[in-house]
Amino acid sequence: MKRIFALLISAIMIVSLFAACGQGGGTSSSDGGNTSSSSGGGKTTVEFWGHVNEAWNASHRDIVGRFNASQSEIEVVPTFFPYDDFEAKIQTSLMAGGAGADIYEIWGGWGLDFVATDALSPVPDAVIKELIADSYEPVLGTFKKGDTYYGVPVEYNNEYGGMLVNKVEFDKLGIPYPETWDEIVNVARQTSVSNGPVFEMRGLDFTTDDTLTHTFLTTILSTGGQYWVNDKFDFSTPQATQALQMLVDLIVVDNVTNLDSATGAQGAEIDGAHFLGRGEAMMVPRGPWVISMLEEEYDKAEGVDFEFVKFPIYGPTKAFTAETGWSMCVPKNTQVAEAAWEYLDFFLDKENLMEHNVRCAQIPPLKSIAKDPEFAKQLPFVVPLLDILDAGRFIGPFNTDVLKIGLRNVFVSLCTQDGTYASVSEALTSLENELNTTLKLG
Amino acid sequence: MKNNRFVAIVLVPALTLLTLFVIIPIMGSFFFSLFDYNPLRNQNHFLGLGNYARLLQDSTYIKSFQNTLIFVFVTVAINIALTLVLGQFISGVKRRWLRNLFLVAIFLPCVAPVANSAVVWSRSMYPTKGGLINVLLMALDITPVNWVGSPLMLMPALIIFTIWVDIGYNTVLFTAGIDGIPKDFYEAADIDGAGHIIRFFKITLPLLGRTFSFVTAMTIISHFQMFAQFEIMARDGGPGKAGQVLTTYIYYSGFKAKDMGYASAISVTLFLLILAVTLVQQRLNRVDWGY
Repeated sequence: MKRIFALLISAIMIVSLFAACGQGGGTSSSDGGNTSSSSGGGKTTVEFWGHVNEAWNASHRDIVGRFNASQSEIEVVPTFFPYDDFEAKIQTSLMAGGAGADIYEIWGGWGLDFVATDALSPVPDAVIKELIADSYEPVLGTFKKGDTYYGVPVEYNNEYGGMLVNKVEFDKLGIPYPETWDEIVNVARQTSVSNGPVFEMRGLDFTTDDTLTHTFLTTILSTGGQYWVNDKFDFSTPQATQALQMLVDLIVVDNVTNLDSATGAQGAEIDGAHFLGRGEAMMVPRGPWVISMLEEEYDKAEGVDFEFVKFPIYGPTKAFTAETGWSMCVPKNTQVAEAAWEYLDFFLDKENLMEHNVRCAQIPPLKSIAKDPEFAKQLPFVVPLLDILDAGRFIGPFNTDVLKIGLRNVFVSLCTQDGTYASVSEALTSLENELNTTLKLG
Repeated sequence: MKNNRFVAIVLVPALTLLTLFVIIPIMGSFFFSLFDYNPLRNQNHFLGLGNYARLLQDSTYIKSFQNTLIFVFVTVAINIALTLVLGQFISGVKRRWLRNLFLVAIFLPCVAPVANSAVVWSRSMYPTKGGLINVLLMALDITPVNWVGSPLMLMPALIIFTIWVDIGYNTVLFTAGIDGIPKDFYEAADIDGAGHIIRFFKITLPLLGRTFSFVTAMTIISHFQMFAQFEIMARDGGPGKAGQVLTTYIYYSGFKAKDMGYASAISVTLFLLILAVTLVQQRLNRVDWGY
């Protein structure tokens, strides 16, 4: 009797264990109960996964709603996951093979790693031909392998060329917004107020990962240098040394800001835009997408509390770096690829995409939308960026997160003079070696 | 014989769990560490011990290894010393409600998830502007300290936080251990005229051997594996990689650089390090008597 009882208990525990393993978790928000990509029940279900962002998700839901209403054969079901978990979620579902979505929203910075594995399906010829003709160079860069493309762009991710300015403080001082590089540095020097490690006002906060990386690379390009040669990083040029030295001097000599944005000294995610929201920064070069963050988190209004103006290119060559931004991909293992591409074709229709870009405060990936006067009318604060889009250069076929972290570490070491590097050129050699090792083995 | 079979059957679920979630992953890590492994690729190149050879030339790995050892030994030493003193102090409190109050107060940080506490500390305790610690320092006319943003102060900041968040558990264990020591020994010491310090070192500490050994081993193992506060307070290793430890470097290599084979090799070295330190510690703290 005792043995039977023990066997029973043992069996129940093992079954419970496996049952628990099979249950899903997480904090996703789905718009439909069906989680499989089936062709049963009359309609083909297409699962679409994106990341959580209220404004973006509302726009996606509306476009999906219109598509579903126009269809008798296909139903798209969007689900949104927190950004922090999203990349790992995509990676895991692609590994599982057929258990994830039929359409993924993928960030170009890490999309490259998925393209390299052949886990995504090629964009159909009919869709890509039109896109290539109408797209800006950076928006397709990540998703090109050989002559084949594995993703379609949703936005032109522009982290260079625009700058948030503290309108209230500029009005108080009665000075105009600076327009040239020298003017920006002068105003930043004059307006910075600090007391030891505490900054009351940051004249120019540029040490956020995105801004630091794009300012460094753009300065190299604009002064006639290159950083990506023969499929490798090359920071051995005088232009690279000059660019990094100039950025280090802004901290060490000009004291226009400190390293709080780079080190997370005020909290991990608190960066220049947050400092501007708190009234502790005068000028912050950033992409336009942070405008909605300032409005939602700090109750600041564009045009009243702050404005978005041009941030000039340092050197004489008009070129700046841009990453491939948010894009849409279809996995290779989906059973409903045709239906998935049909929806994406609908999403990329000029009218739908323009509406999405406007609602999400995104720079459009397509020239026909960016140059449409209606777009500028609907999103007037991005106008400073629209003129320079042709000067954008694809940042390069590498994982940009790895570059950003490596550059940040080197930059912080140089600014804090912690003794790791004797000079800027030594730091750049170390960074180049570290990044190229990752390329070789990754 | 029947009893053995019963025990074996009852152990099956636990062994199944152990095999699935401990033994297989450990073996898997070692296996993957021999490849240039990316789970999305159809073919992964066999590197042999190539990933291990790379470790020896990787300055970030060496820095992470050093930081891990410094963090574990400093934090565990302070933790054990502090919790022993607290345990002794609480054990000596006669009033039951006061004793419970102390235990609850000290144990409270253990109840909250470490990640949540780390966010709270990084947003409200450590900031140079408005952080509680710096507000207090400035009230005393002392220059504020850049706790998280300075390579010199980052590791001390992480150690202080970890001690705060982790002393409750060990204090409760030491208090229970001290309470369990028979009173006869202390009465005999009283007759001999021994003071508090002599009693602590000659009676409490030796007779606490089993508890001490268990607490030290568990604290060392858990501190080697700590991750949340490093990930939150020392962003990607922090300034000068002063807060980069092996667990965060494993995460970086596996999920940001997507170099799973290399991340597995680092995991294997962490496993071997914990194993070696624990074996040495168990040997040094061997207790072969009871009371």
